[in-house]
Amino acid sequence: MSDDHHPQLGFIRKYVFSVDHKVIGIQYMLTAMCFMFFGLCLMSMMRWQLAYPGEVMPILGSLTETFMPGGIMLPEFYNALGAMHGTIMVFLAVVPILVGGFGNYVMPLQIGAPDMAFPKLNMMSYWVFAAGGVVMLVSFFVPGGAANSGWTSYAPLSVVATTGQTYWLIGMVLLITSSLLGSVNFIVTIVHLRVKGLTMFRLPFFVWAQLVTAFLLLLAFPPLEAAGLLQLMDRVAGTSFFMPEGLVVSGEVASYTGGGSPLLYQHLFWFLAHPEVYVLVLPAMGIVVEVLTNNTRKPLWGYRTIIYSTVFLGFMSFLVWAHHMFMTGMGTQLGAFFATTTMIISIPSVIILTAMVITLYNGSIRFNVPMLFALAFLPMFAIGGLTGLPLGLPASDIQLHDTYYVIGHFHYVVAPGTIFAIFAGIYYWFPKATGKQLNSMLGKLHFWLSFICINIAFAPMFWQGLAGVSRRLYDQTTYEHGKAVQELTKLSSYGVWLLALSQLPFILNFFASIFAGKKASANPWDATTIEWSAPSPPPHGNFAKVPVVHRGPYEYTVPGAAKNFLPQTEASEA
Amino acid sequence: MFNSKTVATVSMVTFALVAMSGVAHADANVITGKVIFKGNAGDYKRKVIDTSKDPNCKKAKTKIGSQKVIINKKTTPMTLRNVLVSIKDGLGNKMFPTPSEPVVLTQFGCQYKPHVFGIVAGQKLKILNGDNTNHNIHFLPKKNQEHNFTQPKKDMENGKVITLVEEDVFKVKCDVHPWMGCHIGVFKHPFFNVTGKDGTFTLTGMPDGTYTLEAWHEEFGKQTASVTVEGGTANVDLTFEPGA
Amino acid sequence: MKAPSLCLLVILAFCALGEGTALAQVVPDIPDVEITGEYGPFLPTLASKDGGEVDQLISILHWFMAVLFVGWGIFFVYCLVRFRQREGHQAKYEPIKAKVSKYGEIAVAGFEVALLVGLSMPIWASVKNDRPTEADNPFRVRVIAEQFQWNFHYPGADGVFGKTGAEFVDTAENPAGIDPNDPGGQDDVVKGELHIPVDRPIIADLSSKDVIHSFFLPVMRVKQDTIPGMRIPVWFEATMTGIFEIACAQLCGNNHYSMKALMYVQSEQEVEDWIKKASIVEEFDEDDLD
Repeated sequence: MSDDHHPQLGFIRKYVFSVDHKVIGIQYMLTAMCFMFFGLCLMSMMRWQLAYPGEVMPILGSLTETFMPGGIMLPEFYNALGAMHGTIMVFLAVVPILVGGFGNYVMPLQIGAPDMAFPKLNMMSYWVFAAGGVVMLVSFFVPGGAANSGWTSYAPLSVVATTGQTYWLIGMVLLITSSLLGSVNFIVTIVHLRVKGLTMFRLPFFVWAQLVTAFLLLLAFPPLEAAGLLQLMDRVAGTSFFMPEGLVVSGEVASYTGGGSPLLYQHLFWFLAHPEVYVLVLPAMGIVVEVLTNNTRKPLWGYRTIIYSTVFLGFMSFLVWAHHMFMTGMGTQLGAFFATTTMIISIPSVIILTAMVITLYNGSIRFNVPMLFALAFLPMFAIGGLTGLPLGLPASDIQLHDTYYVIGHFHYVVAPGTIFAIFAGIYYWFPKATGKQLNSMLGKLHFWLSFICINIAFAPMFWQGLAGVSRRLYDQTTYEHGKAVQELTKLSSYGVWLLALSQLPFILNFFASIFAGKKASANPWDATTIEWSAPSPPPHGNFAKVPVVHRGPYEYTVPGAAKNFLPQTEASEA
Repeated sequence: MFNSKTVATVSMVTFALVAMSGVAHADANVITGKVIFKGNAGDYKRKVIDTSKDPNCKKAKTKIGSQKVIINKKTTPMTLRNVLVSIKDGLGNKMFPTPSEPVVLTQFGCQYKPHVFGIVAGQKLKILNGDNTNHNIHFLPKKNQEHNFTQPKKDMENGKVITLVEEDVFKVKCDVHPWMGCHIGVFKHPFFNVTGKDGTFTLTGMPDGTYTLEAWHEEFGKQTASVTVEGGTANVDLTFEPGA
Repeated sequence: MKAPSLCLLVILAFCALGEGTALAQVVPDIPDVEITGEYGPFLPTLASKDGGEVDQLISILHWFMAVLFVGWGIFFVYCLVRFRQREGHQAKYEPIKAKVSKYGEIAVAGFEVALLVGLSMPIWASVKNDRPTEADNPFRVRVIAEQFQWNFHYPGADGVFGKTGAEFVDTAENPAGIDPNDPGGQDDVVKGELHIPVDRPIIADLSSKDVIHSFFLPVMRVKQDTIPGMRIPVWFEATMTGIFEIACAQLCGNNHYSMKALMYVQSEQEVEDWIKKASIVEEFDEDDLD
């Protein structure tokens, strides 16, 4: 498995069309980080319109005369920005970073494998993803602009929408295909390529999280792919899968034969999109557990409990989708069922979070940059989870459904939750991937600025939501209850803009450290899992010698051991 | 994304080429006439449109009426307003220059002005918002590209400029104020006119020849008439007789 | 600010010259409607009979969440301080027997069950099943959503809704698509304002002509999507008179944000008078005008 098995490759084969999981992981990572920043920029533009409705936008106002005549954003552009912000953040940023980036890079290393099970499939899934991203970006330039029916693209609105929606659908089909290819690869790799001694219950939790996530992607994405294709047919081939009869659109009887159901689309969509929430959260929890155990210098509390909870969580996530649809006219029986499953699914989440916090107890906590992000994940995710309660009960959902409360809720889960976990992962594995350390002063600056600003951005949304302000409003001051909380909207906007600026120390740190960072050793954090026994950065093929595993993943501060930590690959000293 | 200067230059060059090729003469020919309404005017009373949904509409015009059928009861015989009369056949493949002046469509009092109008293919259409409210302009063309955009603020200066290229007669409506609608006819020639308060139309400058005229009305459909014009004025009336 | 508005006035004046008398009535003094109720960063004014239960549930939930978060947060911060890395402090390998956490989790689960079975389910059941009967003498109205306005269809004096069909729809003159030949539809009124009597159950049948909208009455704690192809009823009872806003809570296109209507909660007599007045078709007799 050493380097000489691999012939010298040219630049293109080595860095562009590479089959090495590490190069593909970094490709995913960089592409998706760019998309994430782009998604943040889209949001920063929207926040101007929200804070100062109908006023000329400074700096970016002259960007597009078509959609911002005289620097004033048009509602159709606002809607397009909203839809694309959601789509880009979920499908082009967070999932590719967590699964495509961290999953691809770290998971094979953590199981001691030389590469993924199907390296060419892996390469294909990246390039299909990239094509999907390009289609999404191109859609900004078609007549009528990008898709503007929300990231959920509910029919019939999306079916009668402008051309951008067709691009959106094609882009989604590509992205989904990419995810499906990736998930098959992940499952096979984790099941078949573990090194000797690495039993399922010696796997680091991150690998377990990736395994459950891969199953979620594999089982949940096909319904959305089907829904996307059916919607595409409704748009371009005149079918009526989601179009009922008797529609009068823009004053003219619509030329659909009818017989379709708009609710069918919502069911198919949420059948994916609820498990998708766990796709966004589980790998993040995986990262947090890795960083947390490493920096508390003690084993994970309730390792098996967490794994069982995660598997149960994955299973339950397929049974809660319709809690997004309480307001569609759902009756009492279905309402009771989905409210009950929603309450049930909260229990494993509470168990996982509790186990993480109890792990802190009796630890010896190191406050380095990855740990700060991982620690921040805990209360932020707790806020996100708790605010899900009023939304999961149909009775309280009546007032809060589709308001800013929902936006606050899922952003707390995904932004200060998942994205903080992503930063924890970046700071944690950066030395492994580059052989350089990130600057910890800049890292701490990045953390504290981001932590404060992200809360300024999202906390006001709960009060806006209680006030009754609906989401996706171009100008909330149309309504009296919107006018009443306009100051909160402004506050939230300032938070978003400052948050965007807070990323500058990170960007600077990231590039400066690659070129001029302090050299990192193979195991700079004194960690136990297998990836740290490979050189930094690991060569093609990863390990000089096939590792053998002797123990579980988190053996820190073992009584009687000579060292503070016992790596999985080290033969027992006794 | 052409700027206006390029467009102007390109269109000037086009005019020059068209003029040099000499396919069209601006003859002093005139076709005139009126569009007669035969029937019971009492069946087509205009209703006051309820604009209470948006108080800003009332602030501009306290009362607006339905424009679907407007009969000029004071003329004898009674004539029909808002009929788009144009040359349908007889021009052959002759080409005519596109006017450089834009046609202006204004939204005022939550009503379109004009309600029916023609435009030469390639000519600019400028859309202004004179109301202190949000308008959504939704083109429902049969052959041209669909447009659907908003003008959320009053803007009587710049507006939005659109070019229509295919021959077409279609409706434009506002999705925010569902009663707002107007009709656009796009022609490859400049020989069209819309009847007004006196119910007459005048087409000028076409070459000698025999033409089929078409009168189009949003509610009553189409009527045609044949007319020959040779170095002077020809007169022809068209008649709409609903229910006949 | 001044220069553009001056330009505008000049342009308008030119328009007025061309238009003759039509524009003579520019900018009449129409006062803005005053919306009733108090709005702020918490739940807005409550104006319905059953909405209190929803408010109560929301308030209990938030207290529960606050207690959990604060309790949990104290433990979290305690751990961070107490177990920070320092000289002479070492982590312990043995896991603690955290019985407290087990009991805590059971307590949380128990409370969730109580909320679900004790509060949410009964409220949801009453929202969905306790339809006012004929004996309650409900006031009926149909709500027809379209891009981007709400149409309210009142049955008129005969109490019968006329037959409707997509083929009869005319956006300007017959937005609800009432069959002109149906005798039941002759006295029907379709307007862009909702006028309802106070202290009487209201049954509103929701439908949509084009895309999905959502009928949201913030002060009534009523929200229901309108789905094309379906007719979904909601019911509520207003307890205070006033003028309130109706919002669209589901993205329905470019001008979703401006899809607002007003709801007038009035006495029985006022509503009756308004419907009577609204049923008279006013003729536009100024033939000279466009």
